[in-house]
Amino acid sequence: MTKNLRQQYAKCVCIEDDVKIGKVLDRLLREQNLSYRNLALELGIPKSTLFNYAQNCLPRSGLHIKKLCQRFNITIEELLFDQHTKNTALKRGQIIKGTFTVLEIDEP
Amino acid sequence: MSRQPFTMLFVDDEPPVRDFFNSIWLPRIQNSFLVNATIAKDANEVDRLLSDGHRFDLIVCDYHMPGKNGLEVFKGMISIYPNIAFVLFTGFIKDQRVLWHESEMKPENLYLCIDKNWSLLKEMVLTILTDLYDRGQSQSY
Repeated sequence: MTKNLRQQYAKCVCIEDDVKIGKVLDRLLREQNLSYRNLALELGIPKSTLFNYAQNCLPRSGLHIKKLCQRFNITIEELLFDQHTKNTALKRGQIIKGTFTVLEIDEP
Repeated sequence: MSRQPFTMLFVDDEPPVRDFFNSIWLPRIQNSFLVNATIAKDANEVDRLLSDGHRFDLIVCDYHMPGKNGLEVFKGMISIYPNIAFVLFTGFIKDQRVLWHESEMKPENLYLCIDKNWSLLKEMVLTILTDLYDRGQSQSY
Protein backbone atom coordinates (compact mmCIF):
# COMPACT_ATOMS: atom_id res chain seq x y z
CA MET A 1 0.00 0.00 0.00
CA THR A 2 1.22 3.50 -0.77
CA LYS A 3 1.37 6.04 2.06
CA ASN A 4 -1.51 7.97 0.56
CA LEU A 5 -3.67 4.87 0.29
CA ARG A 6 -2.77 3.79 3.81
CA GLN A 7 -3.86 7.18 5.16
CA GLN A 8 -7.09 7.02 3.19
CA TYR A 9 -7.76 3.48 4.43
CA ALA A 10 -7.04 4.48 8.05
CA LYS A 11 -9.41 7.40 7.74
CA CYS A 12 -12.12 5.19 6.33
CA VAL A 13 -11.85 2.74 9.22
CA CYS A 14 -13.27 5.60 11.28
CA ILE A 15 -15.46 7.23 8.64
CA GLU A 16 -16.72 4.81 6.05
CA ASP A 17 -18.42 7.40 3.84
CA ASP A 18 -15.68 7.30 1.22
CA VAL A 19 -15.76 3.55 0.79
CA LYS A 20 -17.25 2.56 -2.58
CA ILE A 21 -16.51 -1.15 -2.63
CA GLY A 22 -20.23 -1.95 -2.85
CA LYS A 23 -20.71 0.13 -5.98
CA VAL A 24 -17.52 -1.25 -7.55
CA LEU A 25 -18.41 -4.87 -6.82
CA ASP A 26 -21.93 -4.39 -8.11
CA ARG A 27 -20.59 -2.93 -11.37
CA LEU A 28 -17.98 -5.67 -11.83
CA LEU A 29 -20.47 -8.45 -11.13
CA ARG A 30 -22.93 -7.00 -13.64
CA GLU A 31 -20.21 -6.59 -16.26
CA GLN A 32 -19.10 -10.19 -15.86
CA ASN A 33 -22.58 -11.61 -15.27
CA LEU A 34 -21.52 -13.10 -11.95
CA SER A 35 -23.51 -13.59 -8.75
CA TYR A 36 -22.23 -12.85 -5.25
CA ARG A 37 -22.61 -16.54 -4.49
CA ASN A 38 -20.45 -17.66 -7.41
CA LEU A 39 -17.79 -15.06 -6.65
CA ALA A 40 -17.73 -16.09 -2.99
CA LEU A 41 -17.34 -19.75 -3.93
CA GLU A 42 -14.65 -18.97 -6.49
CA LEU A 43 -12.56 -16.85 -4.12
CA GLY A 44 -13.26 -18.73 -0.90
CA ILE A 45 -14.72 -15.68 0.81
CA PRO A 46 -17.73 -16.25 3.11
CA LYS A 47 -20.90 -15.23 1.31
CA SER A 48 -22.15 -13.12 4.20
CA THR A 49 -18.82 -11.26 4.20
CA LEU A 50 -19.07 -10.57 0.48
CA PHE A 51 -22.62 -9.27 0.98
CA ASN A 52 -21.22 -6.98 3.70
CA TYR A 53 -18.69 -5.64 1.19
CA ALA A 54 -21.60 -5.10 -1.20
CA GLN A 55 -22.96 -2.72 1.45
CA ASN A 56 -19.70 -0.79 1.74
CA CYS A 57 -18.29 -2.60 4.73
CA LEU A 58 -14.57 -1.91 4.52
CA PRO A 59 -12.72 -5.25 4.29
CA ARG A 60 -10.50 -5.95 7.26
CA SER A 61 -8.94 -8.91 5.52
CA GLY A 62 -5.97 -8.04 3.32
CA LEU A 63 -6.30 -11.45 1.72
CA HIS A 64 -9.85 -10.70 0.61
CA ILE A 65 -8.73 -7.39 -0.89
CA LYS A 66 -5.91 -9.12 -2.72
CA LYS A 67 -8.16 -11.87 -4.06
CA LEU A 68 -10.77 -9.39 -5.29
CA CYS A 69 -8.18 -7.14 -6.94
CA GLN A 70 -6.53 -10.09 -8.67
CA ARG A 71 -9.84 -11.57 -9.76
CA PHE A 72 -10.94 -8.36 -11.46
CA ASN A 73 -7.47 -7.13 -12.36
CA ILE A 74 -7.96 -3.79 -10.62
CA THR A 75 -6.00 -1.73 -8.11
CA ILE A 76 -6.80 -1.46 -4.41
CA GLU A 77 -7.73 2.20 -4.94
CA GLU A 78 -10.26 1.20 -7.57
CA LEU A 79 -11.74 -1.62 -5.49
CA LEU A 80 -12.13 0.32 -2.27
CA PHE A 81 -12.65 3.90 -3.42
CA ASP A 82 -13.55 3.64 -7.11
CA GLN A 83 -10.50 5.71 -7.93
CA HIS A 84 -8.89 5.01 -11.25
CA THR A 85 -5.18 5.64 -11.33
CA LYS A 86 -4.21 7.14 -14.65
CA ASN A 87 -1.81 4.99 -16.53
CA THR A 88 -1.10 6.42 -19.96
CA ALA A 89 1.57 3.90 -20.88
CA LEU A 90 0.49 1.60 -23.67
CA LYS A 91 -0.01 -2.04 -22.83
CA ARG A 92 0.94 -4.86 -25.16
CA GLY A 93 -2.01 -5.68 -27.40
CA GLN A 94 -3.93 -2.53 -26.45
CA ILE A 95 -6.15 -1.16 -29.22
CA ILE A 96 -6.34 2.59 -29.56
CA LYS A 97 -9.29 4.07 -31.43
CA GLY A 98 -9.01 7.49 -33.06
CA THR A 99 -7.93 9.46 -36.10
CA PHE A 100 -4.24 9.47 -36.77
CA THR A 101 -1.90 11.22 -39.16
CA VAL A 102 0.72 9.01 -40.69
CA LEU A 103 4.03 10.80 -41.04
CA GLU A 104 6.58 9.68 -43.53
CA ILE A 105 10.01 9.57 -42.10
CA ASP A 106 12.96 9.47 -44.42
CA GLU A 107 15.38 6.77 -43.53
CA PRO A 108 18.84 8.11 -42.91
CA MET B 1 -36.20 -26.25 -8.46
CA SER B 2 -36.79 -27.37 -4.90
CA ARG B 3 -37.97 -30.84 -3.97
CA GLN B 4 -39.20 -30.08 -0.48
CA PRO B 5 -40.50 -26.76 0.79
CA PHE B 6 -38.10 -24.64 2.77
CA THR B 7 -39.45 -23.05 5.89
CA MET B 8 -38.83 -19.38 6.40
CA LEU B 9 -39.71 -17.03 9.25
CA PHE B 10 -40.06 -13.30 8.64
CA VAL B 11 -40.07 -11.06 11.70
CA ASP B 12 -40.92 -7.35 11.56
CA ASP B 13 -42.97 -5.12 13.83
CA GLU B 14 -44.19 -2.84 11.02
CA PRO B 15 -47.41 -4.02 9.31
CA PRO B 16 -46.63 -2.36 5.91
CA VAL B 17 -43.28 -4.19 5.80
CA ARG B 18 -44.95 -7.50 6.62
CA ASP B 19 -47.56 -6.83 3.92
CA PHE B 20 -44.91 -6.01 1.33
CA PHE B 21 -43.00 -9.15 2.23
CA ASN B 22 -46.05 -11.35 1.94
CA SER B 23 -47.75 -9.90 -1.10
CA ILE B 24 -44.88 -8.74 -3.31
CA TRP B 25 -41.47 -10.02 -2.20
CA LEU B 26 -42.22 -13.61 -1.20
CA PRO B 27 -43.89 -14.61 -4.51
CA ARG B 28 -40.68 -13.66 -6.33
CA ILE B 29 -38.71 -16.06 -4.15
CA GLN B 30 -41.37 -18.70 -4.66
CA ASN B 31 -40.72 -18.47 -8.41
CA SER B 32 -37.39 -20.19 -7.72
CA PHE B 33 -37.98 -22.24 -4.58
CA LEU B 34 -40.86 -23.81 -2.78
CA VAL B 35 -41.00 -21.81 0.43
CA ASN B 36 -43.48 -21.94 3.27
CA ALA B 37 -43.27 -18.63 5.10
CA THR B 38 -44.44 -17.75 8.59
CA ILE B 39 -44.71 -14.15 9.71
CA ALA B 40 -44.16 -12.86 13.23
CA LYS B 41 -44.28 -9.35 14.63
CA ASP B 42 -41.71 -9.56 17.43
CA ALA B 43 -39.36 -11.74 19.46
CA ASN B 44 -42.14 -12.91 21.78
CA GLU B 45 -44.01 -14.33 18.83
CA VAL B 46 -40.82 -16.05 17.63
CA ASP B 47 -40.39 -17.68 21.06
CA ARG B 48 -44.02 -18.79 20.99
CA LEU B 49 -43.64 -20.34 17.52
CA LEU B 50 -40.50 -22.22 18.55
CA SER B 51 -42.05 -23.48 21.76
CA ASP B 52 -45.03 -24.67 19.68
CA GLY B 53 -42.61 -26.85 17.73
CA HIS B 54 -42.15 -24.79 14.56
CA ARG B 55 -38.72 -25.13 12.96
CA PHE B 56 -37.20 -22.95 10.25
CA ASP B 57 -34.48 -23.22 7.62
CA LEU B 58 -34.06 -19.48 7.41
CA ILE B 59 -35.03 -16.47 9.49
CA VAL B 60 -35.23 -12.91 8.21
CA CYS B 61 -35.56 -10.55 11.15
CA ASP B 62 -35.85 -6.80 11.60
CA TYR B 63 -33.30 -5.18 13.91
CA HIS B 64 -35.32 -2.45 15.60
CA MET B 65 -38.31 -3.99 17.34
CA PRO B 66 -40.07 -3.50 20.64
CA GLY B 67 -38.59 -5.80 23.26
CA LYS B 68 -35.63 -7.80 22.00
CA ASN B 69 -33.83 -6.44 18.94
CA GLY B 70 -32.91 -8.61 15.96
CA LEU B 71 -29.37 -9.25 17.14
CA GLU B 72 -30.65 -10.50 20.50
CA VAL B 73 -33.07 -12.80 18.67
CA PHE B 74 -30.13 -14.12 16.60
CA LYS B 75 -27.97 -14.72 19.68
CA GLY B 76 -30.76 -16.60 21.40
CA MET B 77 -31.37 -18.64 18.26
CA ILE B 78 -27.75 -19.54 17.52
CA SER B 79 -27.25 -20.96 21.01
CA ILE B 80 -30.02 -23.49 20.35
CA TYR B 81 -29.69 -23.98 16.57
CA PRO B 82 -26.02 -23.48 15.68
CA ASN B 83 -26.56 -24.01 11.95
CA ILE B 84 -29.42 -21.59 11.47
CA ALA B 85 -29.24 -19.10 8.58
CA PHE B 86 -30.27 -15.71 9.86
CA VAL B 87 -30.62 -12.43 7.96
CA LEU B 88 -30.75 -9.21 9.96
CA PHE B 89 -32.87 -6.91 7.83
CA THR B 90 -32.73 -3.37 9.03
CA GLY B 91 -33.36 0.22 8.01
CA PHE B 92 -31.07 2.98 9.17
CA ILE B 93 -28.70 1.91 11.89
CA LYS B 94 -26.38 4.24 13.76
CA ASP B 95 -23.36 2.00 14.14
CA GLN B 96 -23.27 -0.67 11.46
CA ARG B 97 -19.80 -1.77 12.55
CA VAL B 98 -21.23 -3.60 15.56
CA LEU B 99 -23.38 -5.72 13.25
CA TRP B 100 -20.56 -6.24 10.74
CA HIS B 101 -18.37 -7.44 13.57
CA GLU B 102 -21.07 -9.89 14.71
CA SER B 103 -21.43 -11.10 11.12
CA GLU B 104 -17.68 -11.64 10.82
CA MET B 105 -17.79 -13.72 14.00
CA LYS B 106 -20.51 -15.96 12.55
CA PRO B 107 -20.07 -15.70 8.77
CA GLU B 108 -21.90 -18.93 8.01
CA ASN B 109 -24.96 -17.92 9.99
CA LEU B 110 -25.45 -14.18 10.10
CA TYR B 111 -26.16 -12.09 7.02
CA LEU B 112 -26.79 -8.36 7.17
CA CYS B 113 -29.09 -6.42 4.91
CA ILE B 114 -28.89 -2.72 5.67
CA ASP B 115 -31.25 0.08 4.51
CA LYS B 116 -34.09 -2.38 3.93
CA ASN B 117 -32.68 -3.19 0.51
CA TRP B 118 -35.28 -5.66 -0.79
CA SER B 119 -33.40 -6.55 -3.96
CA LEU B 120 -30.23 -7.38 -2.03
CA LEU B 121 -32.36 -9.34 0.45
CA LYS B 122 -33.70 -11.35 -2.48
CA GLU B 123 -30.17 -12.17 -3.67
CA MET B 124 -29.13 -13.13 -0.12
CA VAL B 125 -32.11 -15.38 0.44
CA LEU B 126 -31.70 -17.04 -2.96
CA THR B 127 -28.02 -17.60 -2.12
CA ILE B 128 -28.89 -19.17 1.23
CA LEU B 129 -31.64 -21.35 -0.24
CA THR B 130 -29.36 -22.47 -3.08
CA ASP B 131 -26.75 -23.49 -0.50
CA LEU B 132 -29.34 -25.40 1.51
CA TYR B 133 -30.59 -27.04 -1.64
CA ASP B 134 -27.07 -28.02 -2.73
CA ARG B 135 -26.31 -29.46 0.66
CA GLY B 136 -29.53 -31.40 0.49
CA GLN B 137 -30.38 -30.30 3.96
CA SER B 138 -33.82 -31.56 4.61
CA GLN B 139 -33.78 -31.01 8.32
CA SER B 140 -35.19 -27.76 9.64
CA TYR B 141 -33.92 -25.92 12.66
